[in-house]
Amino acid sequence: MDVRQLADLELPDSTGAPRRLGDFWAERPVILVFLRHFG
Amino acid sequence: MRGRYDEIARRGAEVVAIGTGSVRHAAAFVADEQVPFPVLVDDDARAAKAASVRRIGFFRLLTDRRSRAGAKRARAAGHRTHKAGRRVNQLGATFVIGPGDVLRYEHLDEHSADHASLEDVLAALPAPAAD
Repeated sequence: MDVRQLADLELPDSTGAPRRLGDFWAERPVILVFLRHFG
Repeated sequence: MRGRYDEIARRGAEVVAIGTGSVRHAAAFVADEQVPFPVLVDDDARAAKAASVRRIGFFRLLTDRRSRAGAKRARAAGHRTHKAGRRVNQLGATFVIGPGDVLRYEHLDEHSADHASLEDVLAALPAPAAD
């Protein structure tokens, strides 16, 4: 797993706003969970 | 994870969930389940590929006893699937990352009922900075 590659990705959140993944863990630890499905 | 979210937040950490589907499905999930953390949509699998999240063959998905038993337990516990998303054969995964681009923990699910131990995930969080 390449954290830097993941960090540079931008994904929409549940409001449609683009969020850069690396911004979440720049200053604090993040538990990143890949879900199989919503719910 | 939701049940321990307050504890996670007190430790200075955040939870971010990534799923497949549409923004509409993600919004319904957040509203219906009162999810307190960010939920992102990875419908083209860019993030899943970068994170090396596993996929499983459809035959194994349908016939694996562990997956079937897990689905039965989830149904009995009252969980329901809102929307499977585009890649129903993509498995889950859990990582602890940061601060910075530091990977502290990873668990790549091996079947659909396999999940990271929450205790292991919490143990991977760095100790809070002293005041």
